[in-house]
Amino acid sequence: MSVGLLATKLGMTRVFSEAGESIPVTVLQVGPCFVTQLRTKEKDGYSAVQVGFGGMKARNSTIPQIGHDAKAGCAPLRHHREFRVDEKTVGGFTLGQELKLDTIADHKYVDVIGTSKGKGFQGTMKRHNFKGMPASRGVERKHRSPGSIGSLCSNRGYGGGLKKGKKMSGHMGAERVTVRSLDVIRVDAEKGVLLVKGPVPGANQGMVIVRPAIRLYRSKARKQAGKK
Amino acid sequence: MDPAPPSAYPPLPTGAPNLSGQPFTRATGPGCALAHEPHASTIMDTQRFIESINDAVLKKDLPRIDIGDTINVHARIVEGDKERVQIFQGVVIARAGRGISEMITVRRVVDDVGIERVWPINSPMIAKFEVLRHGDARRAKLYYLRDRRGKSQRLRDRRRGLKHLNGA
Repeated sequence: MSVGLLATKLGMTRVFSEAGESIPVTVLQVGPCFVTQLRTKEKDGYSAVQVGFGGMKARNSTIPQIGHDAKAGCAPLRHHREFRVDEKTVGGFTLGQELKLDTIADHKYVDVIGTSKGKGFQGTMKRHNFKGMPASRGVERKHRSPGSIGSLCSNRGYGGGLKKGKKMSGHMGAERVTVRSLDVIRVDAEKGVLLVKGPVPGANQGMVIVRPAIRLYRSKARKQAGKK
Repeated sequence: MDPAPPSAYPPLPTGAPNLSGQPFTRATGPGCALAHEPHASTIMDTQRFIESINDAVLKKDLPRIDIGDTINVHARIVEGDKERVQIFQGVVIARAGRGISEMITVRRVVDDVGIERVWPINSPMIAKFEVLRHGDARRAKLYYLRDRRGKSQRLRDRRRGLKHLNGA
């Protein structure tokens, strides 16, 4: 795994490819990020690189947090995320080092991780794509209900109550979502602007993590192999 | 511990030892929205910044196309490695969107069958637009033409509001 970068989702637009296709893109402001801590096996029990991103007023931060950022020579930063990498890779980073978009600029595909928009308490049709009940044929006041949820069932095969993990209505959204293998459409390393194809989880102005694609979808892996 | 919270930076916030010996580095950019710091998002708001991505691609030499005008759309069609231009003639009945997403709806009637095509104005697949006739339209969307048959779907020639064309 390699070290990713933190970014702000600015919004969506479209660009035209050379072939004239209209491509929907999400505009991401990537970095500048700073290395705020280096985790090593002997000290922390694991090795990782901690990356900070996004300025904030010192009075909105906390004194421990300010001190933590100051150790890296940084003004107070809003977001901190760690990327687990092996010891050797950690050695390649220095505290306070600035990470810019060009570290992932030559990748064709990236993964984007964000927090999806909260949807509140939702029924099974919206939350789990259940079909609901028929609109007519004797169905009364039950058109969006999940139907039978089973009975006398346990995880061991027999017993009372419901099976664990049964899909039901409940809180939806506001959870960590990873979208894999997004096409990189354009990179403006100078401004730190990255255009990726398609939507990205979360609202505009939200923080997302961008990392080089770890495992490509099969079709894209084939495409990349074919081109090389 | 010193309870006084750090007020501003630089200089160093109190209680925060800068062990690196380097001056503080600040994060800038729209993602670091701070009211007191000049950065990209205060100079240019986010929406305008997103629109500026396509500034270079927007067509600057477009003729003025009004609703009700009869136009020719010269569409580039790629067949294999050959490219040719197909002309679609019709009446502009709607314009929607703005910037790179601006679309134009062109309606033509062939053998009493209406055909409507929606074109992205700024698409590179459109070689050019040609305005043939100015129709007199009193509304922004001419969807009522869909309900018309025969002669009643014609638009009168426009006689007023052509100053911009005559250069007066």
